[in-house]
Amino acid sequence: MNLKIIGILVRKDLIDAIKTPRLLLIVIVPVIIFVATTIFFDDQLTFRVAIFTPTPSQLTSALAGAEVVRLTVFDSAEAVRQAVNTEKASLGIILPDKFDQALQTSQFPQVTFLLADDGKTNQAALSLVQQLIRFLSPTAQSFSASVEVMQPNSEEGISLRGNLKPSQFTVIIWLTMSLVGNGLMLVPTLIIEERERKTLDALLLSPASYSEVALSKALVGLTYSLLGGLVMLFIQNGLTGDVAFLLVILVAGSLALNLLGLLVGGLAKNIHTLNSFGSLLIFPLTLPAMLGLLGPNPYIQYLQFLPTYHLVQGIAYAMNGQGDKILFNVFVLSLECAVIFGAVVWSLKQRELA
Amino acid sequence: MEIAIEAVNLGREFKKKVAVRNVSFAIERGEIFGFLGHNGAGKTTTIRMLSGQLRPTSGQGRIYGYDIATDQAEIKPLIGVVFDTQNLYERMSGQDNLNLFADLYGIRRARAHELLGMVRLAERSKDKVETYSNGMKQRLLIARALLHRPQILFLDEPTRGLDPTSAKEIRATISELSNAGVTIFLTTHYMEEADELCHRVAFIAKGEIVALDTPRNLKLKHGQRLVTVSANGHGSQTFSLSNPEDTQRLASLVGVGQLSTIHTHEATLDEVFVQLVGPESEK
Repeated sequence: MNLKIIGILVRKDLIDAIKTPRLLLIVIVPVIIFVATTIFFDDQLTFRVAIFTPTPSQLTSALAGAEVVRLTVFDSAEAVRQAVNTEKASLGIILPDKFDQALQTSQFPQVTFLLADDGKTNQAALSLVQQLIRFLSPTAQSFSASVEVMQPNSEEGISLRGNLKPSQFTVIIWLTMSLVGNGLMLVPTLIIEERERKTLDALLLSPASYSEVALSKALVGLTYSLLGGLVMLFIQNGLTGDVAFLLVILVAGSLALNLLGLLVGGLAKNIHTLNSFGSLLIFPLTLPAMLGLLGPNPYIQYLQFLPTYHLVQGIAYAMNGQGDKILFNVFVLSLECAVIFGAVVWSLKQRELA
Repeated sequence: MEIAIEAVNLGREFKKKVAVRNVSFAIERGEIFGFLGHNGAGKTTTIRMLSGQLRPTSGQGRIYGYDIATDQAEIKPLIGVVFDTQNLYERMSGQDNLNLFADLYGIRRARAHELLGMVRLAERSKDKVETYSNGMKQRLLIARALLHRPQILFLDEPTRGLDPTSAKEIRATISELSNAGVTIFLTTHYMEEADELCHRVAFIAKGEIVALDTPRNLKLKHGQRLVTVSANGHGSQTFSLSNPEDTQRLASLVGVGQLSTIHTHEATLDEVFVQLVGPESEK
């Protein structure tokens, strides 16, 4: 392997990829969609609040009128608890009987707040509701609060999302789609285009070998995967938690997907074959991210052999500040990289022996 | 003379279909060797084997003594190939195309600039290749193949689809390269081109060489040498110089001094090719 030759080819393809509309689309579409959804949807912060009040309360109508609150009224305290537990609501409020009357007569009614987790968004929702109650009461300190942080129910199956809110998990979905797109479409397209236009023949007559050409394509995919991924994480403030672990899992996952792309590029005869079979591969590879959004899910366990399962879980761990848990994911991804790389080398040898 | 390219019983099969069978020849340094045949006759397969892009399934090939199957690293710097397709990076400029390969070969980019001048593309060097005409692309392909100063140049249909002026320019370049000591292995459909350029030609049909000699010898050996004369008061008559009776009759006409015009009809390489290989439809 000649690193200088690989560097020359990577430089050529980095420029060529952004000059080719089809390849540029593969690289930037997930980023653009992600940015658009962030601008148009995520900035409009919405608190999902569940409330139970045995007697009518002004707080219910005040919350219902608040633009940032999506309120659901339940008919029992247990139903509110269940809603928070299953993450249908991020904040639950359980009011005592005759709450308004107790508030106005300074009887210090006890309000129970249930938080799905103690993340910043939920804390902000809690603060908002408490301010609202103070606004409705005659004195500044007119009620007593009991706050419970719930642990989401994970008995229904594996949860790749962990304690991340769906909005936080969205970045992982787009990130996964971007990495899968770059790996499974960009890298093989770069190889197949060289083959179809017969520029590969010219390259192989130069001092470059097929292995060097193929590796350079994988490195181009890796570069764009990481750039796109970092842009998304940066925009979504996803560069939080254990950033170093986050980068490690990103590199390991991207490498596995780009090597997979290299294998696909070697096997696919032309762009049409790639479009047909590549698309078939993309769907299962993005499934862990899709199912992960739903929270605990019994079907996710069947996807543990996919590199994207470990990528998604690893990113979620790192963003949750549980970086030490990604070691197993990195181990599995490294193992998968080794197996795929072996397959790539085998396919390259077959080609070189043609 | 030094042997530049040698093939000994070279053959290639693709899934039990024989593309090239028992091809043998030796090409001297500086020689222009024409390899002529119909589409699918095995010309490109032979070039791909000799240039190391395809492994032979039988026989041997050598480039300046290096085995084409095992000595690729030694052979690559010695050869340049102009492919039958214009395999250039169309979205890049002509200059960038050559710079890329100059970088891969580890040679100065000034060489790329020099070659662009040589193939008369200096003024358009910054333009994208997709805006070039066929002739310009073909000249750029030749420049790319010459970047690393190869001793052997494989040219696969270099003038196909070009206008007469561009084709003439390419042929002039090939002659200049040969004069400079570069060995040329040329495949072409155009027999006149082969006749004009090549020191020797081989006809290949269905993967096998059916004739190999200088164009002149092939024409002499396989062509019909005819003479048409007009004699005073006798109209015009055609005589075959290969037929002793005709030769005698012609001699007597010349002897009586009654001839008004004489036209010789030498066989063309095209006629010899059709005679030996058959027309394309019989492939």
